[in-house]
Amino acid sequence: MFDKPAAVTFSQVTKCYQDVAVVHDLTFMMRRGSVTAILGRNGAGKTTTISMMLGMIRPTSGTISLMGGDPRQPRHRRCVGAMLQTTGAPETLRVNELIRLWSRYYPHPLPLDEVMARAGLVGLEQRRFGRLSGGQQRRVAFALALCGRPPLLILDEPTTGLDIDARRGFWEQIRAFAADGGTVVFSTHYLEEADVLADRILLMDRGHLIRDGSPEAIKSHLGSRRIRCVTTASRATLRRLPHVVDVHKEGRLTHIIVNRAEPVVHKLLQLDPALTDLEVRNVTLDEAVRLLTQNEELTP
Amino acid sequence: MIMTLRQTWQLYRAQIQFELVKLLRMRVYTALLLVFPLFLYSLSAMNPRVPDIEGIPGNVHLIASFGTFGTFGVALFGFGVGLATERAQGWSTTQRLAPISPLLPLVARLVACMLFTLMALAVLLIGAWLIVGVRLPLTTLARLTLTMMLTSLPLCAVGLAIGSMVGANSAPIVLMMIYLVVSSISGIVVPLEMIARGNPGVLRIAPLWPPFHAGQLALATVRPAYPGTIPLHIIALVAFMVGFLVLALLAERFRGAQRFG
Repeated sequence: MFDKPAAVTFSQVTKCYQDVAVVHDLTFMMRRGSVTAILGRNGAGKTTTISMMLGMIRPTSGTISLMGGDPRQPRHRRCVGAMLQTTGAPETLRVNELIRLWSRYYPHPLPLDEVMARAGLVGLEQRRFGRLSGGQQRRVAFALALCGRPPLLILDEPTTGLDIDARRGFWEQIRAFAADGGTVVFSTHYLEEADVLADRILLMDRGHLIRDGSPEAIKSHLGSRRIRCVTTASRATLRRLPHVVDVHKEGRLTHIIVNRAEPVVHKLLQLDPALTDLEVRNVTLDEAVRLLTQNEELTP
Repeated sequence: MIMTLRQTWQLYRAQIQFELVKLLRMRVYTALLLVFPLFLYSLSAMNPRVPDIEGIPGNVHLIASFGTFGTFGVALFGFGVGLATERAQGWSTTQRLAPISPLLPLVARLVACMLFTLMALAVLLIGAWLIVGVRLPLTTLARLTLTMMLTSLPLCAVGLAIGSMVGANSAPIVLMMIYLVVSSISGIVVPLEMIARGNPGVLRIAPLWPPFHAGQLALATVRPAYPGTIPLHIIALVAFMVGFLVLALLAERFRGAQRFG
């Protein structure tokens, strides 16, 4: 028996716009049944990568394979449900009309009721697209991605603009899709989202793939929490503490990137009982990318 | 994941329905689009002094020319502006995700334009009968209807090409200017022979525009055609249609190549 081809394969893919390369020499393979997050700041090349994956734009060089074929061919795209950063649709059409039409594009679509339920659109069937909120429009986009019963979902920043409940609902759907053996590729700004959903993270910066690994591997490299305080403890002392990844002083503030916050805070308070302005929060992706690229310093 | 023939037929039918519903939901816009040619026709044809044109009663001649004028309006404002608006709304981009040939929405728009032309012609013919008292023989009616439905295709291609190149904000004014100027010099508002009396040069530039050929074919159903001209009009319209559809597809492709982020 031959193995099925990988869900997505990029081989030395570069994309240039007017001699400016926005994606450089990307090579990776996504196996079927995996959940992969593409992380990166604005301009990292996430959308270009996803657009090439979907066959919407051609790479300048290199080859891309989607479910073993050319992503520009409708028969291969029929294996993919996709969602872009922004979703537009004629404002006069109703939600159920849009989904019914989209379902026709696939040979074995899901029943309309099931799509509505999975996308959290129950009760909005008759609502015109132009009268939906931004979050509801995102859910319609998700419904369009799901309705063809595709084995692969490719989603570009799917939770941008969703409130926390809608975001968690979306996460549940992705987990359920993956549990059924589906493959998911999504881009996001949120480290937390990638951490919760993905079994693999591709971290991009300025068109380059700078890290490729499991969330645990990426986090252990980055440090996952950031402690900010005003302390008299020196940088050298702080650097020697367990779980500390990086220390940076800015004015009177000290920023400490750590793998685990609690033991470091405990130690800090022992070192400097007069410590003030203590704040602990998750490392943002922006900070993470800066740490990884080492080109810029942390900012508060 | 191959689709059966039945599924493909259902897909085309659904896409055409979708195009029609989109337009019909804009009730005031659609009503104006359908009624405007009748309004202009009535203003001209109700004049008791309307002369014979090209050897036939003026109010019959005007049905064919205003019918073409209405078809051109449907093509430009129903489908040209519609496409520009959809691009601005992001639907064109969303639809590029669909596992379909780019021809599907194009074909659906063309067929929808044909059906919409049928509605516009029905409004004009019923209005001409009720308001002006003009009734065409059944065979003439059938030939005129068929001719106008077919000539709506190249006119729709003009609308789609412009709608795929011009922004949503400027589309209405650009298309309005094209509508008024091209209709005037194509002889589908004021008969060409009347315009030519004042400005014979118009006769030379009229064949450069698709509505002229569409108008001449429509007129050929209500009065004798000029010998040997019908094949030329058909060839010209087919060439215009292919040219404008290629332009529309290229514009779409070019826009796709500009996307990045």
